[in-house]
Amino acid sequence: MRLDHKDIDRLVSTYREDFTPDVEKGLRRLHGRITPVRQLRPHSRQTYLFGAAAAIALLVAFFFLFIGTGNQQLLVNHTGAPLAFDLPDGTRIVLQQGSEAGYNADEYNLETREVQLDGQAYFEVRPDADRPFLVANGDSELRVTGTAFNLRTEGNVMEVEVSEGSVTLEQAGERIAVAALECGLAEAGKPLRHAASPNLNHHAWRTGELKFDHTPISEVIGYFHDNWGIECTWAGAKECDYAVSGNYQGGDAGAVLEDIAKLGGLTLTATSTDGKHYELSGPCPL
Amino acid sequence: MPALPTATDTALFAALRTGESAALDELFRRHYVELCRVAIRLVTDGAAAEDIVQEMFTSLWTKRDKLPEETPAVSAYLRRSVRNRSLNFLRDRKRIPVDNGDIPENSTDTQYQPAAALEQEELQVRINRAIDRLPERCRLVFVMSKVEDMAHREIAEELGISVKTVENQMTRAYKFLREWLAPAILLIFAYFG
Repeated sequence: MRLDHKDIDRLVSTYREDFTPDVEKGLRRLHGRITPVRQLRPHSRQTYLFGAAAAIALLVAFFFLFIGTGNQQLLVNHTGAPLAFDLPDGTRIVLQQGSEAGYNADEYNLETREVQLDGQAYFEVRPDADRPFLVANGDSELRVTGTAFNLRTEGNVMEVEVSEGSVTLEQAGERIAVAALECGLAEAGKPLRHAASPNLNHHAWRTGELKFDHTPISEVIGYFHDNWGIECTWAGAKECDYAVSGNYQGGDAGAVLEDIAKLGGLTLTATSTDGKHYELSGPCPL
Repeated sequence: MPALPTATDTALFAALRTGESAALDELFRRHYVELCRVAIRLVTDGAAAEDIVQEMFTSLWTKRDKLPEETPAVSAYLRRSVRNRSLNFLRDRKRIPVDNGDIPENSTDTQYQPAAALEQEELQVRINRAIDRLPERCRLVFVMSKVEDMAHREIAEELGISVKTVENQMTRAYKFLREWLAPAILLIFAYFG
């Protein structure tokens, strides 16, 4: 017996037929490779409480940067308005102006869905119990299977405010569940904090809505910082302690802060031209 | 368009041109494994083969508006695309040899004896190993001809060699493979008749 050309031709037709890659894993990887920018969410409502940002949005054409660095995909919002991105699994991220998010396109949506955030964003996470959605910041990590929430990272601080479902906030072996209308805070070296947040005021940079119901003025000032980076100090370091009530929808953040000050009988003075530094002065309300 | 599982490849391709991402997924599911095999036969590395096919599908999506309007033979179109990308991969890494290379002297696989009972799986391993042991230019010529059904002239153009060289390489390949596969001849006839 001897092999002739015909025998060999038949044999070699099976060359590498044993190579059988995982199709579904490959498909998830493909989804990760396809540019995730699906649309710019039009924020036609009065969503920019911060007037300067709105002005920039009018002057500067929408500009977004989508950078691929190796397999690391970086989503950057350099526009003057919130900008929406759809990730490969269908999760939507609305990035605040100046914020960045990143993920590894080769690994995203395989075992987990891991995203890094620098700045502030609103997430609508596509439910998937098998592939948890994770956002890491230093030692802190947010774990989600499907929900909607606002997340802010600043240095070693990670703050989440949940509008739908629930998330788990973890830091150095400690973990807390944060449910809808609640807020959680992780800060390096400090215990995790957890509080009710019925008015979702951390969403205001996107929704344009602020609601106060006997809210301490220190907390009100905190919302302006967290949403728009506004620093508001007290003249002579003399802080007042009184409660604020009222609803605000749209408009300029500085003007809203001025209204709040006037209602308390205080004066608001801009201390810089960037619209982000103010000083409160006057007699404290009774 | 008909429901995706029953749609023809041509209908899926047309839907892909209009931006229907589900059509891309269905084409991927239907052809991924076979296209990866096309790539690995040329580049011999599984991870690189998957990368090549991933890039081809990514390109299909990102350049969908430039796809041909009528594509009756989608499978052939995809195979050709992966084959071209695989050859570019080899060229970029200077893995297409400029010389003929030497046939291994001890061409008999000492792991197997003629009388040894080989399972079909082992036979597949032996076939893979036999082709992989060919000098690279010889291997590429043989695979392009006998597995990818390319004409000798086409192979010559792709590899930048003469048709005569292609024919010589084919002769070398057959000689080597006949010797290498001889120990498994009984099993081969049992499985392949």
